[in-house]
Amino acid sequence: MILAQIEVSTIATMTAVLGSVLGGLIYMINWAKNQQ
Amino acid sequence: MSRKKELFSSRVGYILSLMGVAVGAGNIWRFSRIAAQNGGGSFIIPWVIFLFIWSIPLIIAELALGNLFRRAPIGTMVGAAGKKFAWMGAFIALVTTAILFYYSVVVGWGFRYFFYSVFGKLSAATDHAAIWESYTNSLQPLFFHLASVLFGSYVIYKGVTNGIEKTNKFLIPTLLIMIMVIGVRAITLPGAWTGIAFFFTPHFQDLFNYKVWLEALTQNAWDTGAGWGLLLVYAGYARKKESITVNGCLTAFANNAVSLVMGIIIFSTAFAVESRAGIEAMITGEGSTNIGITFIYLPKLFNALPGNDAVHAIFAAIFFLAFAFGALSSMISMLQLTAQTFKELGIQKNRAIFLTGLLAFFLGAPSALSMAFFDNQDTVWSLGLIINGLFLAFGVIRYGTDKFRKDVVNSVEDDLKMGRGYNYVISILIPLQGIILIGWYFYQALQTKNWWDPFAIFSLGTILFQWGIGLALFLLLNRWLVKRTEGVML
Repeated sequence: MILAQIEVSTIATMTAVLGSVLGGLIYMINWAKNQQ
Repeated sequence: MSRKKELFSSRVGYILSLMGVAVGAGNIWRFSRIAAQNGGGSFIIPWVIFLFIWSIPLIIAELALGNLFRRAPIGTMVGAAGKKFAWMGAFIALVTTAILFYYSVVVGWGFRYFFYSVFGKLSAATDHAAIWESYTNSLQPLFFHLASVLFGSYVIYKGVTNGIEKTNKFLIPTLLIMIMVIGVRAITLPGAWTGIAFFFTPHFQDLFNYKVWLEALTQNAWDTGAGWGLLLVYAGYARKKESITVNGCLTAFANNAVSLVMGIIIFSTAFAVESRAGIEAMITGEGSTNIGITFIYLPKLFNALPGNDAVHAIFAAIFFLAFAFGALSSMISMLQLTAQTFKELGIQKNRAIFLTGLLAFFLGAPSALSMAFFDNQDTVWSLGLIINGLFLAFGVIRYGTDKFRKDVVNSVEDDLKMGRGYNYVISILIPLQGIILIGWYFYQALQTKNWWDPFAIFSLGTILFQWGIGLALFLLLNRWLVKRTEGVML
């Protein structure tokens, strides 16, 4: 119901911003773990 | 000379210390306000772009320079750019040291407000502006500034492993847990999703507004700490095998993730309590300045949350402790940079720490006692950080960008390797962004009345006057600086 009220551009921005920052963070944490 | 240099003892401790540099007051008190004033979602798109083309490349450059030269900024600039450019290193150290002077005052404010929250003074208050006024007009900020300087000096006196690493191993995980706790509370408030939607909704016409892009660059540069010289100093204490690219990216992503979570917390709370008026307050009202949003507007919002006074006090206490921890971890790195610069100039370690603490207290005292002085120093030196970034990029260019990338950045085995694109970003994009940003700032400043006045609180004149004194002095002393730093073991 909440999602229905949110615009597509909001979902797209949220996905892009959180995806790049959190995605980058998770990717780097995994890389750092594998370095040990 | 043969004394073994102390190093970070573990990778986790090193990474948490790098995060301690990056995560600071900028993530908490500046990010949400600037995002609100520049259209929310329209702002965070360029803000993320600048993460990739300003902050990450500069952070990687700093870690690589630290790994290569293992010196403070003066020695690093001499090593990278040549003996003629010691003055640039001295200016980098000056900017960060001048920020240290008033930053410890901010750390003190954070702790004072934590105690206010714990003792219920904020929950009972109706006029938060009056509390702030009465606090800043008293001698209390001086006391908390002194306590911050003493604690920070003690941490760097204990050394890299037992002081900086141990402290950050406590501060940063605790800070992250506290942010998570208030984050969960904030997003579960009724009406919170409206705030989150505002935060992530772009208004595409704003993306054609150059000011939004410039504010996004400024914010990303300031909240990651890229180009300040602080990460460079810590990287000088990393074990040789520590990765450069992965650690650099990890620091930058973690820092920006903290900013995003803080944004979500503040927008959720503002919308849940005041609906659309909450955003208006951050754009033009009482939350439209760093101090206003942190010490006046947010305590007011916390009081209006569902629950009794104890719940409000807990929420406020966690927020202010997180704020103080973030600022403290950054302040420790500033103290380390200054003390290390004194050491690099030939002063014995303990004397260098004592001198740093003494200067931090006495030269920070005017900012603790006068908000006008604080505002002036913040205006002058926070813009200087962009110059720092430009100087560091200049150092890399003089060293040879491709050689730097191949032989230094990509020197660690089993690390993420930087491609040729890195050369272009460092030698073209970074200088271009820095010059545009400084040019835009100067252009705006020239439109104001009395822009030339060197004694005004906010004026181009005061910026150029104070930078000018530092630059002229260091240019005159360039040969002396080189002579003093040559052969000094840090």
